[in-house]
Amino acid sequence: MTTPLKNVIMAVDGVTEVFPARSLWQRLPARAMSVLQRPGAEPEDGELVDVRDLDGRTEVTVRVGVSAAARTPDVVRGVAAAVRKHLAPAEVSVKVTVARVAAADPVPAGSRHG
Amino acid sequence: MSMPHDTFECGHTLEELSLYLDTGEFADPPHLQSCPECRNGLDSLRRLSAAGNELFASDVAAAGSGTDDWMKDILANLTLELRPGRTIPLRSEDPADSLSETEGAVIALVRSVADNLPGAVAGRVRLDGDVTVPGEPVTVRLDLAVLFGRHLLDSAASLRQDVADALARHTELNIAAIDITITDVIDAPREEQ
Repeated sequence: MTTPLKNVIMAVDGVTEVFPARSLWQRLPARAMSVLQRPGAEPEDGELVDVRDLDGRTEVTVRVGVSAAARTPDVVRGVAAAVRKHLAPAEVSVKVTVARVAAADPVPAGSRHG
Repeated sequence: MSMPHDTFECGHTLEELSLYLDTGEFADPPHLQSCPECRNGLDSLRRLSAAGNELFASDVAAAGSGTDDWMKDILANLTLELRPGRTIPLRSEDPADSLSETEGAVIALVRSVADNLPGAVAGRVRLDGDVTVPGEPVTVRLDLAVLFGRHLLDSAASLRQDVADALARHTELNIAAIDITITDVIDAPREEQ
């Protein structure tokens, strides 16, 4: 479910990126467990979109980046609406956090003095 | 460059980001794609470096030395500001939803607007007021380092409007005031006679 949901979110006008829903320190226990269960395996990165079932309600948590050219409040409401539509008719609550407002393209490293 | 060593919440430092920009070396490259705070930090360092080159075009090495007090202050503030900070609510159309943006994202936005002003570099950026409560008055406090010889009043008025426009576009904050303080006037090095 997570990958299609990420695509649904990225399709919302103004969304530039989807960050892992939980920050690194929250994801570390899962990464450590992954390594313990599969010795030699690379730790998996956290899921970008966190989807949980809580007493029959689906709770979706997502962190996004928004284009500087967009209107952030409209983009965020658009993300919530898109997630709700994608998961219909399930009863859904959506938590969206904007973690970055900037142009989408990262500048390559090693270019500071170039 | 002399860099602050304080670590961000993700465990990385401004010094590591600076090294990455210079050399491309970073212990966990995928992290730079997934961490918004590090991405904001890289943006700020790139703009700071570009501004340094502009301000000291005749002495690029001095611009990158990090020995100037104004640049040290900016770097120290960056370390503090590159954190998620408080949660700033946004209105939702469904009462079951919780929509917000991080204080760090908004501060990075204000900093990017200020850094676009020719001959100026943002120093400290603060949002004073309870940003977690919708409608509460918030004052933006922005410190600037500017190049000697610029028309400060014109620049400040223009910047205040640009910051107000950006905040109106990207937040639902009740901005009561935007206070801009010129904390450093930078006298560019002169060529020896």
